[in-house]
Amino acid sequence: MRFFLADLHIHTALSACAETEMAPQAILERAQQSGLGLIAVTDHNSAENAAAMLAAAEGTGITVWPGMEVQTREEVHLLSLFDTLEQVTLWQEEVYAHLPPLKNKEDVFGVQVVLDAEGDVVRHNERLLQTSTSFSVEEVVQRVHDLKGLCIPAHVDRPAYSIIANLGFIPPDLGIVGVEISHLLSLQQARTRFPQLERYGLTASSDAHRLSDMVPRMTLKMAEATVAELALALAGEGGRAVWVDGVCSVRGL
Amino acid sequence: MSNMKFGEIISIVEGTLLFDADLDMEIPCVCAADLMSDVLAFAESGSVLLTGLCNPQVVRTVEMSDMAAIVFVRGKHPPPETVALAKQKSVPLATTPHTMFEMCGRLYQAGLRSCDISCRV
Repeated sequence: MRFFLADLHIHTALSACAETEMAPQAILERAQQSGLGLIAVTDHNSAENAAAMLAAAEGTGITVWPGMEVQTREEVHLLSLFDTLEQVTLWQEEVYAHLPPLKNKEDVFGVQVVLDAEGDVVRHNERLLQTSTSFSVEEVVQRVHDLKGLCIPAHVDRPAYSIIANLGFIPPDLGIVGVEISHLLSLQQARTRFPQLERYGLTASSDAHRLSDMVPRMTLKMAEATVAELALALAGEGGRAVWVDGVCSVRGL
Repeated sequence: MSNMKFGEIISIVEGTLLFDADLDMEIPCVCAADLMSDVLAFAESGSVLLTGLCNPQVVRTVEMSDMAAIVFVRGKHPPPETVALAKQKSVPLATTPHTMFEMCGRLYQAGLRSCDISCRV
C-alpha cells in the first residue's frame, strides 16, 4: 500500500469560471509545493485540457487523473474520474453530444481556453460548457462506470449544484461509493449535518478555480493510483482508506 | 394577450424593487423556472424571469438570454453578490412574498403569456 496526498477536483482555464492562471505547469508546480502526489483535472463538461495536464506532469512524480465535472439535467455536479486519456475522451464525446447547441458568450460566462502543456493558448472552446447536459444523474453514473471510470457527486453539502440540494436526497440505488464535501465543512460537521452520508466514503478536494484554492485535505491509502483503487479505499476494503483533515472518512464509520 | 409594462407586473405580484429600474419596459412574456438550463433553452428576449434561484448564475442566464428582469418568488432575497452583478449588468431585480404558482396564475390571468417553447433547443 502507498499513501497519496490527493486533490481530485481542480479546474483549468478551460472552465469559464476559473482564473486564467490555471494552466498545466502552474497547477503542477503548486501541487508539488503542497506535496500532492495525485490530482485530477475536472473541468466543466469537457476534458480538452487533460492531455496537456498529463504531458506537463511527466517527470514530476505526480499522477494526474483525466476527469470532468459533469452537470446533469437536474443541475447536479458529478465528478467523473478516469485512469486514461482514451477513457475520458470517449466520455467527452458523449457529453458533447448531450449538451445544448449553444455557443459560449465570453463576456457573460468567461473564456474557456484550451491550452498546450506549456500553457500556451491553442484555441477558445466555443461551446457553452457552463450549462446542463441532458443526462440524468443516474445516466451519468451508469455511463461513467461503464467506461471504467468512477463517479463522485461533487460538493454535496453546497446549496447549489449539489445532489442533495437539487434532488433532496441521494437516490439509494445510485451505485456510488463516495461523495465529495466542500471546503465549507470539516469531516465531523459533514457527518453530523448529513447523517444520510454514513453509507458513503467522503472525499474532500479543493474545487480549485485559482491556484491559491489548492490546499490539500485528503490522503488516500491504496495499492496504486487508479480509480478502481479509490473505489475500494472509499469502502475501506483490504486495508485501504481515505482520510479527510486527518480523520478516516471511509463509509460506515 | 399583449405586452405589459414592468411596473404593472410589479404591482400584480405585490413586488418590491431591489434597486431603481425602468418601470415602463414593455414585457412580452414570462419564463418561470428554477433550472437555469431550462431558461437558456426557451426564454424569449425581453421576457421577465420568475424564479426561486438566487445565486449569481441567475443574472448570467438572464444576460445570456437577453431577458428584461428577474422577480424572486416566495420572499427570497438574493445575496449581495447577485445584487452586485445585476446592478453591474443593469438587470432589474424584484422580490415578491408570494409563491411561484400563485404569481404564475395572477400574471397569466392578467393577460401575460408564457415564453414560446416551440422554437428553441
